[in-house]
Amino acid sequence: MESGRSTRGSRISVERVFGFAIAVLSLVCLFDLGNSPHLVFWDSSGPGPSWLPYMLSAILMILSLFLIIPRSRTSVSQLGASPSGTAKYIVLVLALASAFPSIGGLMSLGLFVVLEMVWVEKNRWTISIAAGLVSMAIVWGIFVKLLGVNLPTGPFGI
Amino acid sequence: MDIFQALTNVLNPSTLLFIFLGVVLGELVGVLPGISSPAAVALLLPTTYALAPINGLAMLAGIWYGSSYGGIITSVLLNIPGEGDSVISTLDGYQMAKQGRGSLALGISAFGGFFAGTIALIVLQFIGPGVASVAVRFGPQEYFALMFLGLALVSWLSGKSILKGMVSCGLGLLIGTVGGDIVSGESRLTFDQPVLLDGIGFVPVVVGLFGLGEVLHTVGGKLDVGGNARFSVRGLFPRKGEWSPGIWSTLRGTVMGFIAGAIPGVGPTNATFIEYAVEKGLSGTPERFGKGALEGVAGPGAASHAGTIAGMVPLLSLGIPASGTAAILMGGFIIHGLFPGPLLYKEHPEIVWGLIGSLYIGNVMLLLINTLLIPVLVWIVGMARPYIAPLIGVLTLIGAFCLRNDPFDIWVAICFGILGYVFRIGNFPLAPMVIALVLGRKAETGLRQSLQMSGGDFSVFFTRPVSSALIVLAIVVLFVPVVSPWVRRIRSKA
Repeated sequence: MESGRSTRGSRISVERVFGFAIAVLSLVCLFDLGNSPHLVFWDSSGPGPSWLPYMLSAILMILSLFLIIPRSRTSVSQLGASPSGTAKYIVLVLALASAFPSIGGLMSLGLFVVLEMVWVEKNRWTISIAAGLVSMAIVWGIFVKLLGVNLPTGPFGI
Repeated sequence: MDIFQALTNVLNPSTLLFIFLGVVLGELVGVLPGISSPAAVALLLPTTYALAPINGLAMLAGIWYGSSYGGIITSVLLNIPGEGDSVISTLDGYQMAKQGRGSLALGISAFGGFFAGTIALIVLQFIGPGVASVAVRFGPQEYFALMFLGLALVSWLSGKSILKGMVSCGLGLLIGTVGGDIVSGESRLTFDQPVLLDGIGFVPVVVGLFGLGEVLHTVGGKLDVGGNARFSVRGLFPRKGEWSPGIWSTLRGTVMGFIAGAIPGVGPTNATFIEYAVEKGLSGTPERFGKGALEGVAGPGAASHAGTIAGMVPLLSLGIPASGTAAILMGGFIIHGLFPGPLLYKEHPEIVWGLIGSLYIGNVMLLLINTLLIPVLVWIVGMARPYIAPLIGVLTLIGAFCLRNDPFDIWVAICFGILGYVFRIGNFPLAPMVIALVLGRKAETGLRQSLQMSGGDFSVFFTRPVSSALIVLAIVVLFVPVVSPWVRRIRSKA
């Protein structure tokens, strides 16, 4: 089975942090809608374009307060199989997205596979490089050749 | 068009190939812990846009119901549930494997699943057009009320907390409002960014939420493969005296699974738990459950398969996805310019009946795979595990990019991947968000059309019996779970 780290406190903080994030998002949306005078809220024919986003932002704002306010009853949650693995994976994905337009789609995807397998999954370099090359070939075959996706090309022409 | 004509339409080499691909991929997804069926359907959704609609949809549907078969294999042989709806099978299935009866557990699952799937398809074939013919008479009030009820049910039933379900649903609806307004075309919530004028793409959102979100939650974990993975084709068949309990449990599981699977938010996973409780309750010897009772495998297995097929009823007939996977499959329809709902039966019968025909064929393929290829699937579990996380990353990012060839969509997928991870660690349900995202615009259209007809008077929803009943039901669904704990507290104090 997957190993997981469970803490009662961590779940409360996840809920509260997420509640704060929702509250901020709602406020940002309300601010943007408030600064969009061209959007009608309500006229003689009924609700205008800004009515639903206003309502949803307000409802989410109220709901976020229930998440922020600590409750007495809570259950245990899973932080995930490996928080450090998650952090490394996010770093690699962000690096891939940044490199994608400049070093080319295929190259960045291949590098992502190699680095993920070595750094996160602790595999050997040889297996990881082989897996990277195979994934580049699969992406090229299915997405470029079969589906006609125009991947950005980099300095090596791929 | 009828089912026989549809079957002849899908009996061509290319469609058969995509059905086969779908069910095999579904089986693999089912046996591989760390990747769920919604993630797999989401990840392969972008690849279908270049295919003929029926081929793409048959493949996605094959992944969906194929995974419910595959999940049982690892539950029984390795004590590792590959899918949510096979968790319950570990209780008795793994015990049967330890007693040397693992093949029988898998046999009863395969034959029972085939039976349950076939019965569910026959019911879908007859119920679907009837529901659609009623729904085709709906006006905007009824449509809005129906979607409101669907969203309320999903928010209530798909997680342990209605608050979290409502937050998830609200976020999905809010994200759906980004971009051009459906009536005036004016831009909303775009923050003056031209890239947001077309809204936030459905595909980058779902590949991020389900694909990347899931891998972020499981990456770096260890898989302890233990258990008793012995298997023989001869042992698949029940012995004398074992047929009767297996058949009755399968029948009960089929009925329970179909009913639960057709209700938005309940779905096949909950159906398996309910069915297990029913089997244990009806048994004269409940103490056998958890120690290798055949009924504990047969009933939930049938409920899972019937429930998955039953999810097609609200999707095809009403355009209401009953689960997150159904919502992603609905995205597969939308990519091809098709909108599930009552008009689909009338305007694109070849798609509806072709899809139902492909489910029949896929069901037969799955029976063969599950009786002959189980050792191969078990071997793949061990082999493929190290490559799953990088593979999902690659599929997520390229899948997000390929529909519009826009690197911005990769960033959208990453943001939603992180959101999906937060949802998982905070136990927020994902289904309400994705269903709200797919239904949001349709619901808003129905709401605004209704209110325009009445000059902004909300009582318009109570002028017709069907919309009144649906709205009242939705309000009850939303408020009963909120109010009932307070009522209980007041009563206990009194």
